Amino acid sequence: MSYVAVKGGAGAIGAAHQLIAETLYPKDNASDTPVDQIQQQLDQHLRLGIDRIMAEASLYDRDIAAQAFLQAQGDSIEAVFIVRAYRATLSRFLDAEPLKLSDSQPQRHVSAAFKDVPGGQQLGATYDYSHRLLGYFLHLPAPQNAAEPTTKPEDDASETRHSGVMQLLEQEGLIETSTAALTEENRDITQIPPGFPASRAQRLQTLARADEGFLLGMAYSTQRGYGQNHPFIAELRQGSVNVEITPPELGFTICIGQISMTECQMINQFHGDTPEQATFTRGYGLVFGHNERKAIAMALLDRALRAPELGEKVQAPAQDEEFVLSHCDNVEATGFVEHLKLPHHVDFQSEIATLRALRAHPKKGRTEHPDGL
Amino acid sequence: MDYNFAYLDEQSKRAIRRSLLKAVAIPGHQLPFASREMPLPYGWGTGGIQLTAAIIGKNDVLKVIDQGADDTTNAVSIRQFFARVTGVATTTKTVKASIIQTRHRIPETPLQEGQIMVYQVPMPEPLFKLEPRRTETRILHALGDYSLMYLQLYDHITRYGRVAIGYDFPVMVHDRYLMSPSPIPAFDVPKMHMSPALQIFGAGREKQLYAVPPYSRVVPLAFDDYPFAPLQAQAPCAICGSQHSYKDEIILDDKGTRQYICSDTDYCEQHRC
Amino acid sequence: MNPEQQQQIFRTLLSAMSAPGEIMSIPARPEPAPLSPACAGVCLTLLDASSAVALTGMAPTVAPWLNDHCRAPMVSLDEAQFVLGMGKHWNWESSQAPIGSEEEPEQGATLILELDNLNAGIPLQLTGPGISGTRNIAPRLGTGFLAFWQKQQSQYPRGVDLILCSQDQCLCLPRSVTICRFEEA
Repeated sequence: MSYVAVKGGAGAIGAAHQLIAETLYPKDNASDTPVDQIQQQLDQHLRLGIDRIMAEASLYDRDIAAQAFLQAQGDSIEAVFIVRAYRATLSRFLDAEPLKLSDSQPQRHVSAAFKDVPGGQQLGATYDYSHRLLGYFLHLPAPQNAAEPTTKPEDDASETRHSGVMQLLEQEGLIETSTAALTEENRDITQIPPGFPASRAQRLQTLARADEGFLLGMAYSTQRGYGQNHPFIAELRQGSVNVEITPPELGFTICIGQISMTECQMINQFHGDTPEQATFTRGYGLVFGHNERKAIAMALLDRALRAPELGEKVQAPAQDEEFVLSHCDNVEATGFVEHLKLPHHVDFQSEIATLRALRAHPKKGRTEHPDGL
Repeated sequence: MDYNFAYLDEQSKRAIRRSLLKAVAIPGHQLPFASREMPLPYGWGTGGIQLTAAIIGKNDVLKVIDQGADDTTNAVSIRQFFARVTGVATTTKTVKASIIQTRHRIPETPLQEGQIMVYQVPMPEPLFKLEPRRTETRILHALGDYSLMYLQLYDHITRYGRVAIGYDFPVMVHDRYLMSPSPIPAFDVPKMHMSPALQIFGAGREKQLYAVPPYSRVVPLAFDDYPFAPLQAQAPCAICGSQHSYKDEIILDDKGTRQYICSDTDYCEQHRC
Repeated sequence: MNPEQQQQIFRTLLSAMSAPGEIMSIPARPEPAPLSPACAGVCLTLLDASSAVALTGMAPTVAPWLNDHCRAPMVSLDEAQFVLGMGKHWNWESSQAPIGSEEEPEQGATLILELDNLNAGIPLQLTGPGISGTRNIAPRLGTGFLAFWQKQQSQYPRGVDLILCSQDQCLCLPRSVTICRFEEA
């Protein structure tokens, strides 16, 4: 009978999962590469893809991310979802000490606001100035007397840390002072549901986990007049930073490892009621791994979302906190968009019945209703 | 891999349990809860799954339905999930279940005292199509100002001659809160009123939960001259002959021949005997 | 108390909150505590590091016991999510427990009160959600309770919810329930 095809899911689900398993682990695998070796190769060759999964999943674990990436056949949102679900089962032992990003060993350090900055401009590994030609990196000319050395000579000897561009502007009073105090408001959004208006910390945590494509599009809109933004990158930094904890039973701080982070400090249009009060404003982006696109987009959005705090009128979508924060999470978004694949025949049936009833008596309401609108 | 009983850790369960008790104490009021990422997608029942995970114990008997049926794909998937992480007994029989997790239907068989209905809810805010901002609707709920919804019903009546809402029909709970009954057909709404079962609602992606205690007033919005009139099924069930159940419409061939069968598969089976 | 016992106690509480006034037995027996078995079981089931608790008129041994077993942070009465108190000493005339706001009535506290008994007080009649018709109860609550409840009802949905404990039994009074003296009914 025909209805059997409509219902009856257990067998179909089993068969569907079998099809995936056969693709993931083919029985007649000619190369016979062990799965853990493939994962290693993924992390080696698709580092930026792994970084993106870790950032959006908000879990720094390269092995888990690679495992999820493989299981998802390269679908990064599916991989993020798998890592998020895994993350939800982990116990939390301690909060880490705040990361000391200015002490990090930068692999990249770029300022667009000044020609040179303390610590030096450091181009590092970037696609920025490459020509997007297939095979481009196979046929590079041998580097000789490179005009742009990978590190500035004077940096090599000195281990002292340099103050950032923002600190220098702050000393001159040209930029608003940073308010980085840890408060009750800085509650982990994955533990306590955030409401609106959110604190800046909750907002930044949401953006750091947000879908890169969504942030990119929203940030782009601020550059095209939807939410005023006149941004300059003060510092864009990518590098490894120590993660430190202070276990109460030890009473002192220990380093438990290093993670790669990308940070963007953005200078933005000035603000203030009087000439003396006028200062530049800040936007901030911080992302797991190497992901400059997302760090910059995040900094632009952070600044746009500070509109109410800075007394600006909220006019553009990118300034609308409830709109941005409610729609930026790709695990939430993909679930709800894709849930349309689930059977909806019961509610659709009620819609069909309603429409049929309306069309069967088209004039009933207009003639019967006293107002006759 | 070994998971905790019912997947959620005990602390997450406790947070949901505290919210559930408050939800029961304030019928129809939406409460935020710290929704966790479950290994099933948002929009596919994570709210209902988390509520079930927070209440379920070893002695429970679980029934899971989607579109009224126990063997639709997502119902199978959720039932398998709980079988795997709790090991509790499952059933397809409404009368034997202590917990019934559902998407889009209320069983035809009347519910009993002691049973708990767990609804999967996509959009918990009944006003969301009229006012998408939570910050605004929260104020409207505080004021008990539901004129937006009444205006929409009025607009339907002037335009179409009737209230043209087939599913997710807005209801007033305990004469105080406007509530989404979840996308069940309007046909099912009267079953909620003074139900002997506890009804709890979970929206995982939207991070909200709410409840209707047993024996509570659940009244669909209506006007005196346009009373609530849910549409009845067009034909008796082709399998069991029931005149009173909600039906799925099945297209049999290319000519568009239709057949109507019970959406509630358990009811249909009981009725045949 | 193990997670399975906590689940059973929670389900009892969920049933009790869904059936206001119905006396229910707490199914698990916790280890000795400076509280009644019912009250201790309820605390061990509901409280942890993220639920703020205030104590009023409890024995001095209760605070350390709660700290050891639940790790619940102690706060002042006006910040509490849960309040532990003695039913007969509770000051109904000037209750300081939070009642929530119109937007967030769920911030109203849950009062967990120890009572001498749940059925030897003034007879009261309940109506409202969770009750088919009416239900009669007679917990021994202090004077001023009815006036307090009627005032609280006028502020609904703001208000507090009660879990009344005595020995190994409990009954719940959610704010949604209407209470009057039995003779009046």
